[in-house]
Amino acid sequence: MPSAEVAPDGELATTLSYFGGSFKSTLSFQILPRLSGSFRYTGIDGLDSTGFDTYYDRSFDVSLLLLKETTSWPALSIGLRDFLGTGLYGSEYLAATKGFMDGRLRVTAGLGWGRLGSANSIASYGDRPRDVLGSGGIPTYDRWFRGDIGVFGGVSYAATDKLTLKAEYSSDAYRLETVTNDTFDRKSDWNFGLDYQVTDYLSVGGYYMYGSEFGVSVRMALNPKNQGVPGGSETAPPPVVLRPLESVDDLGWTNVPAQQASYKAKLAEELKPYGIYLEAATLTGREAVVQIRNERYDIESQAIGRTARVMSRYLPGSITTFVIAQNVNGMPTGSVALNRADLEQLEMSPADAIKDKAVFASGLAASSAAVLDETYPRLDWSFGPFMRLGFFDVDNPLRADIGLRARASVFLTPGLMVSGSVTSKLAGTLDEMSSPTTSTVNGVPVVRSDTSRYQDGPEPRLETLYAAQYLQMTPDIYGRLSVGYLEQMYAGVSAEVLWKPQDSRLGIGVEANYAKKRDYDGGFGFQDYDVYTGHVSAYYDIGWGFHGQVDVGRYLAGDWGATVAIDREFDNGWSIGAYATKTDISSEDFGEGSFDKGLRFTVPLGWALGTPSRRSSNFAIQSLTRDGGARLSVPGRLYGVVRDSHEPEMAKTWGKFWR
Amino acid sequence: MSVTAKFKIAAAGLALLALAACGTTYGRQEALTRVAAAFTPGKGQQEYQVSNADIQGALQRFNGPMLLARVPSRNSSAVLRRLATNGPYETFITGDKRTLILIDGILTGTRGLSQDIMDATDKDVRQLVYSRTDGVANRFRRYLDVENHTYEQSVTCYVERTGSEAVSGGVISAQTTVMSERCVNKDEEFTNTYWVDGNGIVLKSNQWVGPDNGYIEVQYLRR
Repeated sequence: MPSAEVAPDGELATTLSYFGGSFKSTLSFQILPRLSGSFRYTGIDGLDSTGFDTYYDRSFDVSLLLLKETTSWPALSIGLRDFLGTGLYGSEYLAATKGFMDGRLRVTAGLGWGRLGSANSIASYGDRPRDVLGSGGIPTYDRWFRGDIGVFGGVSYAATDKLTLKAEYSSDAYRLETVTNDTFDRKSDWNFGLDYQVTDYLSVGGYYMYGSEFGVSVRMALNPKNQGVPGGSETAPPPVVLRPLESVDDLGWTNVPAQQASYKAKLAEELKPYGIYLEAATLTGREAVVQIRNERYDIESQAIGRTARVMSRYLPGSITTFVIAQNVNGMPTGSVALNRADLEQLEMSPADAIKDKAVFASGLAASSAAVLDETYPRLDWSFGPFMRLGFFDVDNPLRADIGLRARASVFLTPGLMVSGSVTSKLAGTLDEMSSPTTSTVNGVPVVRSDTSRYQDGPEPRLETLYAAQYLQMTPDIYGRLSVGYLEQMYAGVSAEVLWKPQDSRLGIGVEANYAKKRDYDGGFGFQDYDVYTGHVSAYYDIGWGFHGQVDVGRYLAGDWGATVAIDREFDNGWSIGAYATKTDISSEDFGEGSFDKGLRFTVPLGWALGTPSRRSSNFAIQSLTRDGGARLSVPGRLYGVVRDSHEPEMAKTWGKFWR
Repeated sequence: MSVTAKFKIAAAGLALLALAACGTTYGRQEALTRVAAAFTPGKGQQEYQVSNADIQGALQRFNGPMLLARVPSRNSSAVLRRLATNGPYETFITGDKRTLILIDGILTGTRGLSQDIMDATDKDVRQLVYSRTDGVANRFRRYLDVENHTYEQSVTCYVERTGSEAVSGGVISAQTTVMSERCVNKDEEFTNTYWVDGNGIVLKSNQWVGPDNGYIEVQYLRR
């Protein structure tokens, strides 16, 4: 039963529940203080309309708090359930909730349409169409708030801090489960249950439903905004060292090359324990210009702060300005100039004080730094397990592979790298996912829906092998050229240019690719399919924690269209977003879902550990892997490479400068 | 076990698969060590009790000012040596690289304790304590939250003399005035206690760090 209660902003919750032959798993996210969204995956036993023992259904809900609760008025919410897709759970509601007895007793009453109007109906408004729009997956706007209107209500009482008792009067007739299919008996409109809060983030519940069934549920919640270690638990930074007065005018060292070299070597050595590597440096009488590679700090301002502290300790007293650029793949992506006297004076002041004095500039401001001999060539390798997930195959909602991956990258000159990886699958079922056996389906070339055929094991597969050159062309323009086996399904050439001024929240990129489909065996060979694909992309930091991206162009199947993505970004690296792609492939030709859409998540490892780490886990829940609107997966796209070292991004977490 | 430690264990479990790897990429090894540390509390973190012999040894090994600090909520204590000064600020460091920043014995910053005090604006309070005068003053401290945003804690503090006591520790032995400072705002209330010598130096204290750390006891072993 819906209510007008809202979760804390940013909360991400998973609820697993079972009753009457149906298993539901629901992922809910409080997108804004008043707006929440849920993704539900349901398996219903015996609902064999499609010939399977278990019927799986995906659905999306949204809910908006219209009015906040006051002392005299209840909170009021409006919601849509299963508003995309087949509409199995399609319903709309208005719900009001009011707390009494300091909130221990909460009373909810509401009106429901669709499924929530299928019992206890008091009125009716218009006709509710039954036809599915397109091939499903399109907002079912023609049904909203139409048809019979049902009344529902309920009370919950917090008997103790941990135990809540509930009773509800349901307006859902469960017609599909009880009449069309006999999965359970609905003998009563009433449900009773109790919830037990085990910890702040875990609760369990037991219910007696509709006079005939028992149900159970488990709810796990986390909130990127208030869980984790505030400020991190990493060790302390080195203190700034104040220069002795007499050292300020001592420029003697500038005439002795050996002394210069030893200062650089000392700086490189002292930065290393902090996971910061000096790639280039030039020391002149009054200025030090350095390029660093930060392998540890997910918060870039912390890397800059620690580098500046170390520089204050080991560089000659005559140097008054530090210019610190951050290198990614050997390319300086952004720089910060700091006055050494400000560092000395403001070490104990709020971080805003040093930010006001800092001068942010493009990476080119540090181009005068001379590359250190030990920087190139550099080998970076790793060997370890990996896991791949596959969602929503027709007869199995979740599939996974585990295997081993060996990866190596060689950095040859500034901006030039050669990278490759080999995988060997050890176990898993991804290769059993259904896959078309023809080269086109409904006239659409098969470009992604045969993913499962690239998942055989355990024979080693060449995952990637490519060369990439990064280059900053002007202070605002970056370039990338990548050639080789870019991803497990495609090889080709990818060229990209990105306009992203360092103080801008907007970036615009153009990418052009030639891609050729690789053989299923994971070797060097190709199939008889190639395509020119590419996009014009706009990236915009909207503010209030939201980031938007629009890509317009040609996709892998040769289809033209656009992708719109919006992400809620937390400043500790968490990101939760949704995207949708519509191309000129019709919804009939696209197949189930009508167009490509999905959810995507980034979970930073540093958040989980409480200490800085640049690693994170990314995963996406796609409605179904189809061929329309599929993009080439190019490693190391420019926006992600340059954005983090630019001022708007660093400003968000500048407080870490002195941490 | 603290909430933080419990949280770490839970998070560490999730992170294990991703980390069972080797390579040059920084972060993997350290992260793995961290995961291991989360399962063996006391090894990685500072749960350690300093003995008298530790104090004597440290006083001999290092020159300059030293502190003894104890965080009751973590059941840990440590000897700190002075690492740097910047104007009136003294930075002291533990063996496992956590630092405390003080002005004449009053805590204005911490690093590496988690939920660190990033900086403080507390001159008025300090003035009252150093001069052993009763009075009211505001104090402000800035912290980082889980999203690495800076937030400010502001409290009103009532400072008063509560007596006098002899203090001794390390090479220090002095008669002091005991000052109490009760600070309140709508969410928090804490009481700091300072033992202040005739020169206005806080030789010993019990000071509030924040909700996660609770109080820290700090005492000069050598000035």
